[in-house]
Amino acid sequence: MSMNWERARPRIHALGAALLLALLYALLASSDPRAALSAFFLGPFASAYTFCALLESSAPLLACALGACIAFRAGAFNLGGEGQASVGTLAAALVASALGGAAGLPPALVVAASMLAAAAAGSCLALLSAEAERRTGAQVMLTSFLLAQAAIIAVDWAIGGPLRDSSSNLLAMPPLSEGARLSLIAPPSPLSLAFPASLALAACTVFFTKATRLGSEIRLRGKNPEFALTIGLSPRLGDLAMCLSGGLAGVAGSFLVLGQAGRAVKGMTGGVGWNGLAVALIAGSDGLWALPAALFFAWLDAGSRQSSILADLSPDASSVLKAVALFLITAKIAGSGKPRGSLLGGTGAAT
Amino acid sequence: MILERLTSLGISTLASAAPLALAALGGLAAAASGSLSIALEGSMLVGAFTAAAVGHATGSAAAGMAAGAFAGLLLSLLVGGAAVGLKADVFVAGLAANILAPGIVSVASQAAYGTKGVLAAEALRSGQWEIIALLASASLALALFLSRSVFGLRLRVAGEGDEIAAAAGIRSGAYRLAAHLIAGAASGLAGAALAAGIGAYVPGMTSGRGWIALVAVFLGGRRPGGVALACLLFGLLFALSNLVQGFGGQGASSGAELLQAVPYAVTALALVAWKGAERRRKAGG
Repeated sequence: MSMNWERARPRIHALGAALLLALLYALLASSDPRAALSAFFLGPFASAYTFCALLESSAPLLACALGACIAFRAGAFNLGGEGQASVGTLAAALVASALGGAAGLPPALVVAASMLAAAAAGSCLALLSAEAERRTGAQVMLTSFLLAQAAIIAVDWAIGGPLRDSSSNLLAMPPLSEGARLSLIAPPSPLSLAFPASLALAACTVFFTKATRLGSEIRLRGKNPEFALTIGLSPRLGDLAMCLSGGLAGVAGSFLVLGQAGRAVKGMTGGVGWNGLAVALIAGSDGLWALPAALFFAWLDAGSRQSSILADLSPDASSVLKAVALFLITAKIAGSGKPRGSLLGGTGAAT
Repeated sequence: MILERLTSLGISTLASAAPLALAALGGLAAAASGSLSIALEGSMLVGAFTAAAVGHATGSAAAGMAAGAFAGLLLSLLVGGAAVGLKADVFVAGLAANILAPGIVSVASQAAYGTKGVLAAEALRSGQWEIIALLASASLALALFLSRSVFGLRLRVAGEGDEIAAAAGIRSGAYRLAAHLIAGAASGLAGAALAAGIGAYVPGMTSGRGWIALVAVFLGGRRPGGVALACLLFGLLFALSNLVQGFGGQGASSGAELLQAVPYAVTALALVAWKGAERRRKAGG
């Protein structure tokens, strides 16, 4: 227990500091601090609807964070989560609309196929970077970002252009039929099966990284890639980690499409990849901690949104709070005497 | 006709390459000191916004540009301060800065102007040649400073590792922090130039240019000349994709929008090709 507490304390401090900053911001920037504060801190819990919305929005975030955890554990700096989620949205929407129209297919099959397609799309994008690094040494950190950026532009073009639903004012693909979506758990709230699915993914990730042989090999590679090669571990472990990482980001994209929105909308990933990365870093690349961290981030997002609707605060305040938490945590953890880069569960990036 | 087209392509290449080059040379300073400047993108973004805000408020383009550089420097102070002073992971601190930048810009814009959208600043708008000249001379000065000055030499010694630096009587931490500040100011000014080019701040207007600058640092073999050359290449890519977009006409369905993806994909390919050639060279010799 004490070991766990040692690990948890800097994280709790950092998150507490973020909340303190939120308090200060609401007090200073709002003309009605009382309303702003209650909207920010309590708004997301004010009704079953808002709470369910918070849970639903945590699902894609958690999936991306789990992907980042696996990549970081393997020492692969996958900065392309945003783009991997983006191609996931497109793949899920394409498969769901193609199969959703086919008569006789059970909805569960349509949804599963769409999620698998999204995972495959995200995996492929991430795998390109992993393979490039293995063969040429081109840094995953750079290629994953660049390929993601190109992919986002291409997906946005496809959704807003040739695939766009011309009968709608939205830059979006046509809405999916009811049977091709993740079922709602507590209508009319947006809470769908995406949330329990993300919990299942978290359980699988934790089991995989902590209790399987491949998982420990991946962790070993992250700690020391040369040693991993020397003792005969496969050079393709990095590929596997990136594949899983991109796949999870792709699934996050499918949550966005098959859940609340029920369609692919241009730009709908809206930073979920970057936020997932931040969640993973705050969680110390540990899938177990990723769940509370993702819920915390979702709370900050929901609180910012609520306080921008009900009071006069900026909906983007949450990004500032997240960044502050991240700054504090990287300083704190290094300050506690651990070696540099331990936060990533692997080697430091600065070489 | 052809000549005109070529000239305009050349100018457009320079206009795209100049901000990349300045930011990349800033990134080179950090790389030379043995650190990593992930936050170039964030510094460019706060630089662009601050330049527009100050340009709008003071009516002076020069004040706007200076403020943009200063804002970039402040953001890099957070990164460098955390990394050097608090022994934070520079990669994580840089990512935090990149998440912070769009957030704080949006919050500031909301507080000051009641909008988080486009911020017009006609006073900031400057001529294409003025901007290119400013950025090119700043880049040249920075390149010379890094390669010829005593400071630049000490920076590179600091980059060789703490022990070597200590043996040479150099406090590597201080130089690393200075290198981060240089990177921040350079990319802040580069971002300010982007805003000056259109006389406005547009959310997301840097769109990954800071990352491309970082790639240029690696592609340029960590030498100023090489970095500048890599930036010219990337500038040409941006110029070409703009040019072809112009031919294709407007509208999302025309595919013109898709061309914006080309510079990023080609940059990735260039990095892979370069690294592959480097590995083969090493294996051969």
